[in-house]
Amino acid sequence: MPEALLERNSQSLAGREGKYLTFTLAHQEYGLEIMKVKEIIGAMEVTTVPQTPGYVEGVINLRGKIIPVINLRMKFGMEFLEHTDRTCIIVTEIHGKAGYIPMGMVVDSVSEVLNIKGEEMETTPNFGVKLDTEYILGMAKVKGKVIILLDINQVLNAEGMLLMEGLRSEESSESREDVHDYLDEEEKE
Amino acid sequence: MFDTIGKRIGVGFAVVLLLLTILGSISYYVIERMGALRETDDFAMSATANINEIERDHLAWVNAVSDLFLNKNVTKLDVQTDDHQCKFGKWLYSDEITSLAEVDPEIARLLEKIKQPHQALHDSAKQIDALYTEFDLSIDAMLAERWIDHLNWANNLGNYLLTSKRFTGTLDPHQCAFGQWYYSFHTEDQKLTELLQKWEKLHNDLHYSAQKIIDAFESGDKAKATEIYEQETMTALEQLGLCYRETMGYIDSMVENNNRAIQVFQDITEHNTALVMGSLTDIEVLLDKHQRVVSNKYDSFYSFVQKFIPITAVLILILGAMIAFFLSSNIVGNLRQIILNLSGGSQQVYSASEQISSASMQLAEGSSEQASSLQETSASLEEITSMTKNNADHAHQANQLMEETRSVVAEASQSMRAMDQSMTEISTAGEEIGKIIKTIDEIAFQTNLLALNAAVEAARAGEAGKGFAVVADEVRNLAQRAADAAKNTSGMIENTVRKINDGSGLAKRTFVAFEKVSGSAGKVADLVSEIAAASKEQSQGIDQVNIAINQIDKVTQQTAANASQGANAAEKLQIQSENLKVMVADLTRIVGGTYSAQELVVRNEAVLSSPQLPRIAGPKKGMIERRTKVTAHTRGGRVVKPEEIIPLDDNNFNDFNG
Repeated sequence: MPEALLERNSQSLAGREGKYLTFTLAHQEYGLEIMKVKEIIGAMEVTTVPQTPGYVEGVINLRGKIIPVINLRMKFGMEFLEHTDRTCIIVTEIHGKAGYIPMGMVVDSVSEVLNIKGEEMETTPNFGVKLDTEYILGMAKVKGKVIILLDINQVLNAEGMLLMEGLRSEESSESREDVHDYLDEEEKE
Repeated sequence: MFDTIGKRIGVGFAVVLLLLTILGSISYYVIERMGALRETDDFAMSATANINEIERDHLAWVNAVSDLFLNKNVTKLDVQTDDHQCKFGKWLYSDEITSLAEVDPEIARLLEKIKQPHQALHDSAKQIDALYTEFDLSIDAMLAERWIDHLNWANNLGNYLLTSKRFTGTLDPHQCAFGQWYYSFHTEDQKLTELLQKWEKLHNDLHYSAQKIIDAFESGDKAKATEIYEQETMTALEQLGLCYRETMGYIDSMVENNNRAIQVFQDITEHNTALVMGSLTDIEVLLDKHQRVVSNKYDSFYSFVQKFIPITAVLILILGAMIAFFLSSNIVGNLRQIILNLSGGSQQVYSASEQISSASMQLAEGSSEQASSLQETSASLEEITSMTKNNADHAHQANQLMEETRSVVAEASQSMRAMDQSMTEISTAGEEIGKIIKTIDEIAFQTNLLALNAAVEAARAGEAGKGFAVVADEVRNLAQRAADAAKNTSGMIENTVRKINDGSGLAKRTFVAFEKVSGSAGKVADLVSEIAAASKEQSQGIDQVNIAINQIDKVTQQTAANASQGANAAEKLQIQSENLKVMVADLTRIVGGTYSAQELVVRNEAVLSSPQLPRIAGPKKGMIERRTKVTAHTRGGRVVKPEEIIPLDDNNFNDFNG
């Protein structure tokens, strides 16, 4: 965590400009750094895993790899929505203790890839109360709308990571290197 | 039991008739008995007469038998020898004698006793008849004389031969004394005749031998003459002598028999005659006694009848008179009661007829009112009839229209059904198009995802991926447009399908509505047809009502006429009741009325005012005047016409005729 905080603090607003994948949750647009995105897939069958928190939907089998999936609506404490034909799973890479971990996020729909410039961004406003706004990178103003830019690593906090790591370690005996290898292979391709 | 006069009279007469019948029966019985006694008496008398006659007959019979002996002219016994065939025998063995025997057993015994001597009597006659032959006893002496003559004759002939003294004896056998007797003698005695026949030849031979001797002697042949004499004459004489003795013997036996017959007559006939006569006399005595007894009985019966019948007749007369008195008093009592009732009844009839008269008048008035009401009713009925006919026509038209409507609705329903099917097909097609659109949308979505992934990859590639990013963006744009188009199309199609569904629903509702309309139209048609039928029936009913009204009209007229006739009849009834009163008075007189006319009236009033008699409701006030008028007319003795009493003008009846 200190590393993440460091990294965030070190980043300037300008540094955060770049391409973002936008998606919607309850009619609200959210943005996600393109570099964190591994893949976008349509909604598919999710195997539920017992004794997990409510926001964890389960795991999916993506081309032979077991990837945990969370429901971002549930994570954000929103109303649960059944999967529609627009529902997508965004596979991201989060930075865990043992390196990068692929993680699926169920969103209502995927919009587009936006190139957001620095002047279009603003920091998270002060709401006058102490709120946990660490998972928000900033706000982007595009075409009169507000897009909330998310820090995916903050969204999936340590607890969740632990859990996810647990999940992974339980279900697979493969080492982190395997993950790396997988990621590397992906990159190579 | 004797509640009616007829029964009472019947019973009284029956009692008298019964007694008369009993009296008649007794009289008949007594007379019958007397008749029987008289018959018995007659029978006995006739029997006595018979017996007297028989006694006479038998005395005559005995005389006839004795005549046989006494009278030379009587040569044969000509009497009845069968004891069953003589008059007494016939009577003795007849049925009459058995009934006579029933009269007295003593007579029967005597009759039985008489039979044997009677038979013996007749048998004696038979014996006498068998023994006795009527016979001339001089024959005996004559034959002896002639025999001696012939002996002399033969002696003379012998002397002639010896002495040649001329023979003077008769040569002809017919010329000699014997010959003369012989050929003239006839007897019915068979045996004697037979015996005498033997004589003829021998006698002839004797006489002819004399001629031969004389001839021989005169020719000189003395020897021959002597021979003939000895041979023929002597033989003939000898034989003749045999015959003579035989004949004489027979005659002697006849004489003997006659003597025996006389003996029989003296011994048997007379004895039995005496017996029969004695018995008959006994019977006569008995019959006489019997006759006296019967006569006594007859006299006693006669005296009984003489006393009994008048006494009984008098008794029956008294009884009949009592019954008649009882019946007449009873019937008169009843008749008096009836007369009383009749008198009251006539009074009631009189007052009732007055009431009927007034009621008839009221009836006539009511009839005229009824007739005018009927006129109005008839007019109303005419209107109702025409209205009903219009109704029926309208209902008929409505019925036709409803039938048309029903067929139109049926066609519309058919069309609706076809339309519904077409819409369903369109809807199905739309759904299929929707599926295709969805597929297109999915493809667009996938393409979008691919474009996004490509963009992600291009971003990851950094500068190197810039161009690729542009391509990915374009691809994404295309995918976006495809998705939008698909979305639009989908929306449109969905809209279309929705609208079609809406339309289908509407069509279904319309269809249902049409069905309802059809059903309603049917019901309406049924109702209308029912209305039409009902109207028709109503029309017929009204026609019948019309007929009934006409009949009522007729009846009303009839009633009016009847009312007048009723009034007339009431008048007559009053007259009749008056007559009835007179008749009741007559009847009272005939019965021997003790009620005076005044008394009758008083009693009648009492009867009339008695509570059990139903009082007819009094006439209306307006009628009383007319009634009095009527009664005044009646009492005036004039025949009142009903038209005068019932104030009905001819105009009043014109309404009925209209």
